[in-house]
Amino acid sequence: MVRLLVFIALPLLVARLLDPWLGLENPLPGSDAMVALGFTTICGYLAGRLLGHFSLPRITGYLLAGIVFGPHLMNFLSTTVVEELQLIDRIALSLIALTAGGELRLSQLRSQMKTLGGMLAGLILICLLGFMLLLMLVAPFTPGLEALPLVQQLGVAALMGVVAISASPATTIAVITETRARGPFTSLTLSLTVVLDIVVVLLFALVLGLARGFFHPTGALQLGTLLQAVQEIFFSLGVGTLLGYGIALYLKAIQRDVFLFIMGSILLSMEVSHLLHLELILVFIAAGFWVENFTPLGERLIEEIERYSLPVYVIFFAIAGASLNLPLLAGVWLLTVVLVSGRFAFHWLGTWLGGRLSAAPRLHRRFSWMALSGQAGITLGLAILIEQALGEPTGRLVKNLLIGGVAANQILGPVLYRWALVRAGEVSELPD
Amino acid sequence: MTPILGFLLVLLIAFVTVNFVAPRLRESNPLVSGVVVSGIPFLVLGIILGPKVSNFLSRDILVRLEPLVSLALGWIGLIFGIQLRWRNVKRFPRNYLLFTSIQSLVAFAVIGGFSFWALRWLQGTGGREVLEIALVLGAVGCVTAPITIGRAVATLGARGRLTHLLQFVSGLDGFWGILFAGVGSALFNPLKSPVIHSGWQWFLLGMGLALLMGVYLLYLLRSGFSAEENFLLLLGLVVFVSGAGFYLHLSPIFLNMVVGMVVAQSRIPATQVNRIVVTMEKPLYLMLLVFAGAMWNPAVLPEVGIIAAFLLARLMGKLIGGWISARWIPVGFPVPARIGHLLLSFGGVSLAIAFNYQLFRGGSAGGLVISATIIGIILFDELAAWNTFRLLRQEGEIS
Repeated sequence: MVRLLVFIALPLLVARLLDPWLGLENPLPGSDAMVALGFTTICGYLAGRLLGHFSLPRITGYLLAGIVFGPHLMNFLSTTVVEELQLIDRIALSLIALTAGGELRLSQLRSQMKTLGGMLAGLILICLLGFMLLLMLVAPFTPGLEALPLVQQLGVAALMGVVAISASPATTIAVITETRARGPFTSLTLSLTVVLDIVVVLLFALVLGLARGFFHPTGALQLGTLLQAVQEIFFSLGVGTLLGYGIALYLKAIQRDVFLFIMGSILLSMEVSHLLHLELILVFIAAGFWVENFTPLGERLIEEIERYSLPVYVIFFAIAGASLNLPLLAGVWLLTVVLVSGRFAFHWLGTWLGGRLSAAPRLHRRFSWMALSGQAGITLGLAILIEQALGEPTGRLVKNLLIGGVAANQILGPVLYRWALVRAGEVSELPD
Repeated sequence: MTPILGFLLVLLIAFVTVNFVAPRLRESNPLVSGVVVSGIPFLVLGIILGPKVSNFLSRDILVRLEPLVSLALGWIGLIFGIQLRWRNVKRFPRNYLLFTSIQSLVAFAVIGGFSFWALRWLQGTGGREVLEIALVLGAVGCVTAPITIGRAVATLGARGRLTHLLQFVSGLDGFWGILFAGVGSALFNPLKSPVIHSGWQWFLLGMGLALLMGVYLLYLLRSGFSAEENFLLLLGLVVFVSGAGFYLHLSPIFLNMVVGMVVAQSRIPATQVNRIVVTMEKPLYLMLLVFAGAMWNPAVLPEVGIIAAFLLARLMGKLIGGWISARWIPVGFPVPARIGHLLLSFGGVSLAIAFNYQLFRGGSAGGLVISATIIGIILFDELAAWNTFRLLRQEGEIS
């Protein structure tokens, strides 16, 4: 452990001391981003190893490293540097989503269809209604919400309820990869997270249309908004399937430099997704799913990606950590504690009840909610959409509350999920 | 279609086509396959996609992908440094190293000197900038790429004493080029610092940093991490050292070569690192070729003369260097005096040095060096392939 600390300290010292000592003017633009990226890759990973000694997931270490080196503490990964690394961050997310799709097996999905449906229904119903109720209860004590008319409070509560349902497939797949977990619980929770992603996008479009009507009478629910969301999902899955077909064709016909081809395809698909306003994560999940389930090449694909997956996870979660807005969390910490606790409770109740009604095994009923506790990119995206839709000052308040919640959920999520996987007995190889 | 989408689409199609075509060409015609395997299509593709032709690959995109470019440059330096394991070098006949160094140094002197003269004569200026460009051109030109002789061995089954010597020379030849590029970046460092007053102090700072990070990497690699973990640590370290190089305006290729040399002296980590670095070599080199092509500003008239002088100087430098080594350095068998013809191959390390200079300096000086290198690669790779296959056949080392 001491050795790991020394290993972390050396590049930190080099990077920290060199600049003030030399007092350089005008170094090459972007060079500080490169130093920060290299430094974060090494130290983020070593921090993950360090946390492994305390039976915590490594990705929590990567996140914490991002927080510590990020703009709000050491400012090594400054806001500008984090922005400069966005492209690398999106590439990492795409690779993670491709892996997630490749891990979803149709045969398992079929066998777990009943449990999956039950849990999804339970989650949507309990979490949405419960979170709305909770928000209505705390609204009179929340500056900024207390003065809103009841109908607008309801609108805000419904939107936050939908966002509370959302989870992070990236976190789920990262913990699964790290612990090399295999088994029915792992498969169920991964499927649940991925399907939830699709459901949340649809539900959000619907509720946002309704809520907007409460704030701006002229902007009431339009069928077009919902259709647009459906269209986005449909096209995302379509483009993803095409991408999967292309990858499979390459794997079959050429077989050389597979990872390079995957990287090229990812960059191309990212650009297509940007142009057509597609859901990036869905595109790559669909691609991985196609290769895994409709060709015999799924294992090869996962093998190729996993060979390079470690830097991907470290960079992705370290940047995620650096992007977390800690001062914001400090400003709304009490309310965040209430909302995060409420979210966990409703997730537990929703999956438990849904599992019970669909006769899921006891273990699945008890621990599935833990897989959903992490939140990341998609939640932040929804928070920004809410801000834009509701406008100042309510929109900003809701966004800040949600971002505060994401910070807490993202730190706690991997810890809880890893613990659940260990309890399920599906962890085949625990690091450290 | 946006420019970046078009670029990516074309790049992907080219990549798939080359990967589909190359293995089918290899058996039939080594000269044609040489063009494909050495990556010239990617260079040409970069030129087509660059701002001068279609502007698919604009400067803005290049800036966004700069971390990848720095990684590529650093990686090439590391790959080279890893090969410089003293214990392995000593296994070869004693004078091989001297043979390599003499021909490389002579080539450097001829190319650098001739380029300096051409720059002064054709541009009518002298001073530090001309000296710097001449030094970089010397560094770029004195390197022999191992790809041609490697292909002769792999596809035509070349074997024998001369082939063995050529493999050694082309394997280690880059050392001097990278060293001169490193010294050049330090001596002509444009940064102002209150604590560093001369180029040699910049050089020592760079050496110190690279040695420190080399020892650090060595200890990391000895800590019993898995292959995937070592890959991550290596990746992080190369980006870190390259970033520091860019930050301090010191050649990232040189700094990473020193890191690689430190690791190479330890047996177990060097083997591990070697295994890891080769997997990334080709993708990064191909990427560098595309970017180099895109950054290429076709030369204006006075530059054409300088480039022609450089190309002539390289031909002369390699021929004279080879002749002097063959004449004066005994290696245990008679080496043909025309061995310089077999050392003309031009590739990865030279391109990386030129690219590095372009990123540091930009402007017309950077453009000139890139132009000279690109034209050099296109000309010399084919010439080297033709010479190598012909002469090795005459020497009876290709049956």
